[in-house]
Amino acid sequence: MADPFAGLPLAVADLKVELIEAPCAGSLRYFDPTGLLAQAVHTACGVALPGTGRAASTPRGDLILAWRSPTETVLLAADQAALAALGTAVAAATDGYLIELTGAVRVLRLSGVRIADLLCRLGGTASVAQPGESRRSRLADVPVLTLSLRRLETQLLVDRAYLPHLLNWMRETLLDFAAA
Amino acid sequence: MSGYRLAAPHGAFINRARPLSFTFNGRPLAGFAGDTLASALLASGVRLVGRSFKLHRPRGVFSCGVEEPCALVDVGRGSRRTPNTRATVLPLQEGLSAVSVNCWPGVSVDIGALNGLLAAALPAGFYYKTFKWPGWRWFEPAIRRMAGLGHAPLEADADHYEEIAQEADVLVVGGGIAGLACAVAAARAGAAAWLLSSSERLGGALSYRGDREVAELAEAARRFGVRILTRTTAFGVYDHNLLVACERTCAEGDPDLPQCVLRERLWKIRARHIVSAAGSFERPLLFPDNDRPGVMLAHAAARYALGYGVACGKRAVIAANSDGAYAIARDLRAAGIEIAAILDRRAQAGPDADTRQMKIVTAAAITAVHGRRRVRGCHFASTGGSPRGRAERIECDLILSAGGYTPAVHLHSQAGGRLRYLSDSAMFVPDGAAPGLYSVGACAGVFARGPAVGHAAALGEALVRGHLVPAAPVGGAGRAEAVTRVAGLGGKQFVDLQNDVTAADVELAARENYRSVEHLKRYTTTGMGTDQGKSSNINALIVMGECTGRVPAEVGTTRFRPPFVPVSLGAIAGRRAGSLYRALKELPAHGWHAGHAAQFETFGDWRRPAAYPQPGETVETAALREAATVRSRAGLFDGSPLGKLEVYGPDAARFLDLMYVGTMSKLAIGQARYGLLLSEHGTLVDDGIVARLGPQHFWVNTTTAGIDRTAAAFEEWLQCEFVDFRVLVTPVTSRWANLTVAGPRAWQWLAAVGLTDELAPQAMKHMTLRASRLGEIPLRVLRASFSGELGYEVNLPADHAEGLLERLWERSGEIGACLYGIEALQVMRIEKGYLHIGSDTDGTTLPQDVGFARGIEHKGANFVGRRSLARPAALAAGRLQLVGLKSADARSLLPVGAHIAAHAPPAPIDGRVTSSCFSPALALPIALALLSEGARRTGERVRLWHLGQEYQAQVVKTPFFDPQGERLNG
Repeated sequence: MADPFAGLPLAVADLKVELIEAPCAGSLRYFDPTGLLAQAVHTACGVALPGTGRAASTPRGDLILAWRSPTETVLLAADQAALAALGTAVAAATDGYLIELTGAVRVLRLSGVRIADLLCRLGGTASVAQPGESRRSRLADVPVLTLSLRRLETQLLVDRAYLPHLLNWMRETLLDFAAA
Repeated sequence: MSGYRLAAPHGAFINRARPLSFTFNGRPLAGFAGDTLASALLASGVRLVGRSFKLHRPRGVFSCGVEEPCALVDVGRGSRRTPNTRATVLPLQEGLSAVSVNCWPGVSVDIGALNGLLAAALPAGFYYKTFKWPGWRWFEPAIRRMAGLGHAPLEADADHYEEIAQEADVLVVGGGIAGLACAVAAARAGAAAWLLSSSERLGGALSYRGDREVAELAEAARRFGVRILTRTTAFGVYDHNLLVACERTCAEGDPDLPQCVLRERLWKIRARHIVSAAGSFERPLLFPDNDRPGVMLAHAAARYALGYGVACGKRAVIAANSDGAYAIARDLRAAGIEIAAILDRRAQAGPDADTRQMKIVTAAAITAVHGRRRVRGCHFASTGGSPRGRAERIECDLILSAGGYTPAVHLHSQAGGRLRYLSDSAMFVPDGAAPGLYSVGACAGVFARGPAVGHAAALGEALVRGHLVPAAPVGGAGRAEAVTRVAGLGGKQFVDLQNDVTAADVELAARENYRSVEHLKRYTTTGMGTDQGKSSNINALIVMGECTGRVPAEVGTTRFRPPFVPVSLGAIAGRRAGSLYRALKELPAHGWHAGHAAQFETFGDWRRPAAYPQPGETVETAALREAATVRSRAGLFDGSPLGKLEVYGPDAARFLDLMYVGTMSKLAIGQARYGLLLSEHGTLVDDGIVARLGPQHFWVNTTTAGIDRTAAAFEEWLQCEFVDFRVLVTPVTSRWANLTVAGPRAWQWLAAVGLTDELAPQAMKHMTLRASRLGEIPLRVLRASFSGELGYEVNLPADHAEGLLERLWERSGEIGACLYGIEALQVMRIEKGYLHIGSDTDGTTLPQDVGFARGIEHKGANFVGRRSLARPAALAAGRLQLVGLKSADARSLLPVGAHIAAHAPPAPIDGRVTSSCFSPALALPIALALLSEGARRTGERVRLWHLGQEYQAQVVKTPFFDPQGERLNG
């Protein structure tokens, strides 16, 4: 197998794929998206838990919250401190908890006008997140969460164990982009 | 020479200024850009193109499209060789190389043609008959050697294939005038409209006529933003309006293609509405030797003449059964091809027959075709009386068959649509729309141009605007009769040219009481070739109807299934080839292991170190060394793939009690317990260790391969059965690396890198879990063992795995420790008789079969699968039970999978070996086996059989090693 990390970032005209180094990640698990934990998150972050299929960032920009299921919100943090602060804020909530997932997920940032072109070759149109959306999907036959907060930029959250496979699939696809 | 090139203006598709050279069976030939291989062969006078499947009869080009049953060739060389390519749809390339299939030593002289002498001994249902008598095995070797047509390449395919998913409002399949009209109307009404065309050219049947309306519609399609994919063939409609199509993205057969190209693209398009505008096929007529090179479909001959500027012959006879034959005759005549006669099977000629210009004989049929490798003439006779009446000979080099039209209802049928039969034109047409799929144009039975365009446009608009969709104005195909064969004549009248099925075969099937058309298909193999019976199915069912006294509507059609055309395995696989064949996971410290000579193998979707061979070692010998080192000193194993779940919530303990054999609610914080997870049938699903992290917080270890099914089982029970439970299940496998240190010096090693004394064996019992830290690194340390030695599973954030591995490895020398892989772990767990789910169990294994009867008895509360454990079958005698085996000669390794039986096979099987190894601790081969009533057979000597070799073994109790479990404490 080719070294999946060789030559990163991957780039062709109008599309760039970068691996975000050492992202801090977590997961909020709860029974009620409007319950105590949700309220604690709102108070601490200044933003409510995103609704179904939505993603948002905190006003400070230190956290991204992305819907993953009716009982789970995925967190991406700028640094460990932001994640730890939120953990402290929700510790008292009895209807859910925060699980640290730093190191468990890897994050790829896609930018450019051909994001949809790439994603529909890795999975499907359901994987293409519009700004403010978070979508559970399968890309390259592995589970990936795609989220977007702004135009022409999408982040892919993938289990770290699958990252080499996803990158190799992308690399082959982009080679064909470049050859076309 | 029969075929030749016509002068311009005939040949709308070809560019005479761009000649191309190619080879066919090694013979250099020439054509033009725009030709297909078939048109270039015909223009070059090549009549004999291939050999038929069963009888190896000489065959030529029969059609001009995807329905081609005869002109199959292998194209290209090396890894780019594509077998069984239809010459009729293969665009000609400079340097293209094609060879005939199913012939040896060549297409002209083919030894296989001797099969023709045995034709009488190869009747319909030959295979089925030999199953009964005299025995299939007498014929199987020869038939297997003869099976297949072309030759697949032996080299790996270096090209790329990709898959792309899209969505559409209205998706039109077919680039003819009706398809264009529909797509334009839909786009004009505001829809995201797509149009797929197999051909590079739009216009369908009108594409070679320079039709003005087609050109205007094509221009409008571009103007209104219709997304048009040419060279793209839709081959399947699946649930929820998913249409799958294959696009040719490179020039097939072009020897100058770069080394590695994107060869095909598979489109998966989810459409709100699918519209089929797939057109129709011409139906051949049956007459003796209707398969000779030079017999072909009439419409194809016209297309070759007008589109490709190719005359398929100089003097043609048209065998007709439908009105459409006359227009074709006029086209051919205008192109300079002499029409010797039109022999119309019907009592009356078509309404537009012009008897002043052509010889037209009604109520007449061809009774014989002359010429074996090319048509030289034919005899015909009146069908009014006996066909054996006075026959008249006509000299000709081309016989054209015009038996009416068959709408291409394949996609409609795939979508679940029903069909109805039109007796006046002898065709099946859609009976209304299929769910989510509508038909327009010829495939809907609408053959008249004006109504077809009007209906298609109205439908396209109605779909977008939500209006009532208009009914198809079926008609315009003219009259055709469902009379196809000429009875009472010698010679073979072929129904299915590709599979060599004759009318006599269909009659035989009917005499043998096959009445269902589905049974007929399978018994005779009609319609089961690469063409899937596009030109044969209707004739087969008409003959079947005649034989059984039924009209075609009563016989019905077989259900059409995907794919509509052959699709390459490459296109279906897409990117899933080579290293992307399967999504494999990598360890957090994959690079570290690679740097320490790990030999990786795939276990449970993970690429894991099987062993760390030293120079001169194999994986097997390395594993024995590693296992011995762990038993004597210590070893380090990367167990990161071990499945990990967090189970959280006020009902977590109650839930885990229900999920596992073993009571988890009684665990104190920090305690751990082994558990078996069962299905509702009581069979083993997975096993693992549950540890309590907090009052309502648990840590669950599953097997490596069992994490997904365990998590899915938990969610299913929570969402479907225990819906009032407040429990959250979160997979965290990748968050935590697991580094397992095992062996009598395990703690000494861990202490050397800084683990604190609270984790020492004296302070921390076996099957307990402690949260700790190594500097700033949080740890969850579990004392557990799958090797039987003192063992610590150190769970730490995955990003720190390499760091701790390195720290441990730096101190390994003073411990005398080694790295060990999964093979050594297997050796040690077999020595201990530890169960490995999936290896030592199958879909029927119950807990009591693997020694857990007491665990069930001890648990008073209910759990999933419990009731099934009391079923009679679960308590029956003779169940397979897990036992140990020792090789009787103390030398022979007992092969995994070996059958335990009293006698050499075939014999009743008593059990099988499930795990096996050479034990370095015992210095002899040992194994685990599932053996019938094994628990009471300790001490018995059993015989094992594997690939013709016998082994002997003694049944023993497990564990083989350290039966008291004293080594768990170091």
